[in-house]
Amino acid sequence: MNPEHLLDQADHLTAWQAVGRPRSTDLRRAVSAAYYALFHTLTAAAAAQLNAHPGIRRLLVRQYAHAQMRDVARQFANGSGGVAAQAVRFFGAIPAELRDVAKAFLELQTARHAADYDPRADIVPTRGTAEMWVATARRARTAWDAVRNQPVAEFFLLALLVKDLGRFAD
Amino acid sequence: MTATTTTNEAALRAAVADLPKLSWLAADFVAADCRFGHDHAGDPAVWVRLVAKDDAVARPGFFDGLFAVRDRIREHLRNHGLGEEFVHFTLWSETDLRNPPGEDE
Repeated sequence: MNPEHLLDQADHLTAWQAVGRPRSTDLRRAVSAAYYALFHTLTAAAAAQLNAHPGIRRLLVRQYAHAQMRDVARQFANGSGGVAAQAVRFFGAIPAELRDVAKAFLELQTARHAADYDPRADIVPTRGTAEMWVATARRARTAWDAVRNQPVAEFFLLALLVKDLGRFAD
Repeated sequence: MTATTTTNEAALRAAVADLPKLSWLAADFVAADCRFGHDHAGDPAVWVRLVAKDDAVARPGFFDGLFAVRDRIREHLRNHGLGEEFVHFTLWSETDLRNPPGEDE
């Protein structure tokens, strides 16, 4: 899954249509695509760390769980607590770019959950909200590119995958 | 660890409502409100709705700058009694206020 293509799709879905503003279904799908652009950015980066058969790398990608990723993202977004505290002990302060990636992931997952699962009409994202999340995903991908080769970023990818990594990281 | 939730919701609501009066928001935003709740994982959260001027949302680069704006608002609200709730945002325009979004017919 190419994250840039997902963002291109989101751009298309949020564009004004000949009949007026985008349909609510399109805006919901745009928010979902923005989340998955960042999700796939991170899981693809994890797979790229593994020098293995492509089938094995695909297997690795499928082990990532949204709930675990959310919990770790929240800790890294705060820059403290849980496995983020371990990261600070090992690598020093968490780089601002990585905290931004974590924050964006947390925001996007929450927005995507509402967009995909909450049927209430008053939860329908506005076009501006959808565009905000698309821009957020793009910015997070840029931030990730700036930090991805640092050991703390590799630790982040591992923490997103392994539950209770802090128990084993001492 | 137990999250520290905001103890004075009324004060925080007032701080959110006053956001558009801040010098660094006044040029682009006309209103703000919030609701308290829990996110899909059950953690306490606050959703802040920002209402932007129509010409602001049409301006190139406006959305790129919102990440920093959201961070600054979080910091501002922490200084006004926000607890451990994560602050989420929605963005409306003046046009959205006049013609609110809803599910398609």
